Amino acid sequence: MNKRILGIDMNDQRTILSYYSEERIWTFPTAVCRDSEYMGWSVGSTAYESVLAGKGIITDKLYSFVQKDRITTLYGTEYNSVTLMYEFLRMIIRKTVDNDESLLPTYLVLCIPTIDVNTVDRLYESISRLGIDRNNTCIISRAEAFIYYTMSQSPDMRNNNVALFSLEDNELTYYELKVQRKAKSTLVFADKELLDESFNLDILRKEAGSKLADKILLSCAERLFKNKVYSSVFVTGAGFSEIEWAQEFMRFVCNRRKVFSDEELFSRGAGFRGADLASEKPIFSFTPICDGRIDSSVYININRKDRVIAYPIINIGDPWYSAENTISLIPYNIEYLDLSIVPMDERKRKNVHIPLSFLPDRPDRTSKLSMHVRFKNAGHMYVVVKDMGFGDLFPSSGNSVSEEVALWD
Amino acid sequence: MGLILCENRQAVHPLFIPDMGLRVFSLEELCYVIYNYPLIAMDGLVNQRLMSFLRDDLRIGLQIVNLERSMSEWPDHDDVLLSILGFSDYYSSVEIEDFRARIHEIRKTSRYEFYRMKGDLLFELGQYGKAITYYEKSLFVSKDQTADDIYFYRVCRNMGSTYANLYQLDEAYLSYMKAYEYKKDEEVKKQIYFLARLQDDIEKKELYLKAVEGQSIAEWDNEFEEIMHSSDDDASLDEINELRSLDAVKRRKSIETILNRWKRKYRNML
Repeated sequence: MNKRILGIDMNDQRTILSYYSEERIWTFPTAVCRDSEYMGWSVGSTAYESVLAGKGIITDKLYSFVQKDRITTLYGTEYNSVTLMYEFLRMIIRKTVDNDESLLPTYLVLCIPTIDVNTVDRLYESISRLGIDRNNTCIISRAEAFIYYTMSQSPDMRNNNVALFSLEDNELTYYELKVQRKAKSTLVFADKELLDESFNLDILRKEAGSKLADKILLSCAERLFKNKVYSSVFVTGAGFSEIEWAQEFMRFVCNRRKVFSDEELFSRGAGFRGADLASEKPIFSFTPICDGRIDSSVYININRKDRVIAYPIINIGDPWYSAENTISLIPYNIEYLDLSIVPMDERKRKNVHIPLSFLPDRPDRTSKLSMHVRFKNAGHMYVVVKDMGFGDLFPSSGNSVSEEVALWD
Repeated sequence: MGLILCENRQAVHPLFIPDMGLRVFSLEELCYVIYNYPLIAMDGLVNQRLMSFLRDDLRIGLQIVNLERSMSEWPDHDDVLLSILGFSDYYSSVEIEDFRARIHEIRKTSRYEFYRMKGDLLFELGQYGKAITYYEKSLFVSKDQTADDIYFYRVCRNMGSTYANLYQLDEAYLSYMKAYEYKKDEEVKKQIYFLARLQDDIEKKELYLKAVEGQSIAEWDNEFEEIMHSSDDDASLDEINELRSLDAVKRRKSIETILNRWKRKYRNML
C-alpha cells in the first residue's frame, strides 16, 4: 500500500494541509457550511459563496468549537463538535485529492496550538470517522511540529537556539528551540510563549499601523533575544505572509542569524512527524520535550538478578496523552512503593511514596500488585495500585489505592 | 527486601497441582510452590504438563529446551526445579542455593521417610485423602531398611487423625489402636475417646469406649466441648444463621452456594 502522509495545521482562523515530500499546500478557513439547498457540506470559498447567497449557514472557529464541545442547530438538526469537525476534515481532505479516493492519505498528523485531553479525545473521534487506521494518526502540538520541522533542516541551522515567531490575528506566539546532546541521547526542547503584544492584523493595512506593529515586534525580539545566541529565526503565520512592513524587526533578527519565512511551517512539521510515524524504523533519533510531551521520567526500583535497578515506568519525551503503563509487582518487606520522578535537571528529582497499608496480612511475597499509571495532563500523573492477590493461594482482597502525583512542585 | 517485577500476563490455562488442590497462574506462584513445598515439587510436579505450561502459557521460550533435555536425562528433576526458580527474580541466588541444600537433604532420606513427610505435609494442607495414600506407602519399609516402633507409632497416629478429619471413624479407630500397640501413649486414648463422642452408632461407640476403659475422662470431656465450640465451623454457623434473614429465592441460592463450597472442600480433602 502506498503511504500518503498528510500534515494538517489547524487553528481557529486557518487550516493548512500539505503532503509529506510534496510541494503543494492547501489553505482553508477553519469553517464549514451547511448548505440549505442540497443539505450538503462545503468549505472554503464555496462555503462563503453559499452564505452570501443566503443558501447556507457557516460555523467558523471550529477549533474552539471542539475545545468547548459546543453544539449547534443547522436547519433543524443538531450537530455536535465532533460531527462538524469530521465533516470539515472530510471535505478539506477531499479537496486535496480532487475526490480521487485512491489518493486519500493513509497517515494523518494533526497539529494544534495546545494539547488538552478533552480536545484531543474529540479530534481523534472526528479523525476516526475518516476511516484512517487509528495507529496511523497522531495529534501533536505546534511546538512539536516546530521541532520536527527544524530537525529536518540542515544541522547548522540549530547549532544554537532557534527562534520562531508565529503571527496570527490577535495572537503572537514565540517558540524557542534548543538541542541538547547527551552521551546516549539527543533532547530537543521547544518552549512556547504567548506574547501579550498581539494585535489585530487589520492594522497592517495602514502605514501607521504597520510601523507600530514593526516596533512591537522589534521590542519583543530585543527582549527575547537578550543575552542569547541564535543560529536561525523562523517567521510564520498570516501576519508574515508579507514581511515588507516589518523592516526594523527583520533588520534586527537578520543580524548574524539566518532568517526564514515559511507560512506552512507547522503543516510541514506535522508531515515530518507523519513520516516518522509511517516508517518501520524511526527516522529521527531525538526526544522532543515540548507541549504534549512529558518532561520527566518516572522510575521505580526493582530487584533484578540480585541487584537493585531503576526501572522506567514513563520515559521523558513520551506523549502524555497516550502515555500509560501497567506493571505487575510483588513487594517484599516494604511498606510503600517509592516512585522517583526525574526531570531534565536531575538535581530536582523527587520521590513519591504510595503506601501499601491497604494490603491484607499475608506471608511475604504473596501479594501481587497491579500498578497503572496514566496522565491527566503534562504535569499530573494518576497512579492506581490494586491488590491482585496471589492466584488460588491468596485470593485478591479487591483493595486498591489511587494517588494523583504532581510531576512539578 | 524490595520489589519484584513480574509479567503482566496470567496463564489462560493454569497449572493444577493435585496435591494442593489449587491452580497456579504465574511463574511467581509456581516458584512459591516449589520453594515452600519441596516435597510436592520433588514428587511428580515435573512432567510434560508442567513443560507445556511453561512453554505455552508462561512463554518461557528458549530456556524450555534445556529444561526438557534435563527432564529426560535426570530422573530426579532437581535441576529442573532449580532452573525454574532461576527464571524469575522471585528468589535471590542465595535463596536458590539454600533450596538446593534443602532438597539435597531430603534426597538423603529413605523412601519411606519421604512418604511419611509428604503425608504430614498433605495433612497440613487439608488434603486428607492423599495423605492417607502416602501414610500407607510409608508403612512399607523394605527389608534392607529399618524403622523403629516410634516411627510406626507416628505414622499410625497421624493416619488416625487423618481418617478422623475425613469422618471415617472406624478407620480412625483402627489406626489409633495400632498406634497404641507401638507406643502406650495416653494422647492416643484421648483421641479414641473423642471418636466415641462423635460416633452415633451405639455398638461402635461402645467398642471405642471399651478401648479407653479405666481412663479418667472428665478432663477429656471438657477439652472435647471446648474444641467443638471453638472450631472454624462457627463461621459456617453464622452463615447459616444469616440465611434466615434472606427471602426465599436468595436463601435457596445461598444454600446452594454453601453446599457446593462444602462439597468442593470435602472433595479436595480426598
